[in-house]
Amino acid sequence: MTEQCVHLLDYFNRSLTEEELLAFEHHLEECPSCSAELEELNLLTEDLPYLADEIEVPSTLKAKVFAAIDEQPASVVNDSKPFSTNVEEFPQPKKVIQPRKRKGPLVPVLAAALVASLMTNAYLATMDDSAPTEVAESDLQLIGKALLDPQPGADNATAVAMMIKDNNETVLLVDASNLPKLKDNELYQVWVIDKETPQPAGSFKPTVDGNGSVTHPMDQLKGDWDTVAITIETEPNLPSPKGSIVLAGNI
Amino acid sequence: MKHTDDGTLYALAAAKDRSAFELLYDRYEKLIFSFAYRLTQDREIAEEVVQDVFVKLWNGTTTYKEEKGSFSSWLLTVTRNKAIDEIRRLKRHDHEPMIEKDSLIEQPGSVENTVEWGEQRNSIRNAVLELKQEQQEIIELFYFKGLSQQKIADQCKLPLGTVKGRIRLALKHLKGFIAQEGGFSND
Repeated sequence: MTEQCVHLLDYFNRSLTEEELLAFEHHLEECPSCSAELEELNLLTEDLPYLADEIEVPSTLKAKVFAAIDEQPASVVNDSKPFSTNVEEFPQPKKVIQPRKRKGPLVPVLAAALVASLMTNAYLATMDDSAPTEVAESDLQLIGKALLDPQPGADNATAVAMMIKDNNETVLLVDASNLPKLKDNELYQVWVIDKETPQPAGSFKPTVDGNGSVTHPMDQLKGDWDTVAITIETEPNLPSPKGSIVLAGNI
Repeated sequence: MKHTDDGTLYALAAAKDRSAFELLYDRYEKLIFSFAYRLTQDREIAEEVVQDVFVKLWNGTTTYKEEKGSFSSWLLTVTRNKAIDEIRRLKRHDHEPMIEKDSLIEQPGSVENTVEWGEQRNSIRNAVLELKQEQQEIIELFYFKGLSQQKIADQCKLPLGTVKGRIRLALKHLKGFIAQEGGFSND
């Protein structure tokens, strides 16, 4: 027991002055007894947070947090996977990347290619009911993920499609950014394509910044589809696309 | 399973995968907010704490390593640290947090995508009720109020040198009672 050891509780409760803190942190490295006691305190208190009553979260909190995040400087390079733009027609979008599920562990290979603002405001479009909020319970797994390829005329657009499994339910989540502006009567429609047969997989209106996202239950999608595309339509969920394709990619 | 999933989501979020980060956020928003509120007794400050915790998680100011224990325990520790700092900072500026007296009234849980802890809470609460009154009080002052050793000594009218022993004893008893309650692991 040294003079420093008496500071353990105040270190745990962060009531040391800066000078005391530095001295104690130095001491902690050299005092096995204090290290052990600190670890014990952490263990003995680990259940206590769960004494908190469940408090309803303010509905605006998530938007505030994500707005604060968007003010942070981006630290991800967004040109590490240059998109090609020479796809000619709808049913044969250019293959850009392989499905994530074939790449082994969930190392952030694709994540590095996502622009930092990819999910910007996605939560705004989906906060109420649909979308990621439905899929975050315990056994959640990301089972497939792919970037979509921007098509001519939408060169700056980016999107990611993810298949997310949560217990028994699997959903397709598509999230897009930098989308071209739409006319008032237009919307973005997500499709999945099995060879040449498209089927609708959710539609959305983008935010003013050109971002948007949508989820769709996988069990409503039939066939062995391997392509995801986004088109501009004037009506949601048509039997087949009528408008122009903005993004597409294989998953 | 949840532990592993948290780790995977965290690894993706740390690499700036926003969707993974959002899933983590959705999972823990309610727990973190509720815990921050329990500590600060003030909704606005609790919101600030949640924001600070998640912004720092996103921008990498705080980093989780698996050897530190479970992600949830780590996140809760980060939350407590920030909440205690905020309480102390506001007190220094003579700004006592507004106490909402009815804060202990239970709100029904709603969404399915978040961590729910009603069962754990009941079991820990039962364990707390088995502690002596002074043991309950010292845990409240130490863990939830984050008071300094000296202030705990003053409030509990204990010699300074005995505070640590009392706290450890109370916490150990509590842990024992929790185990008797059937025990649970929060991971």
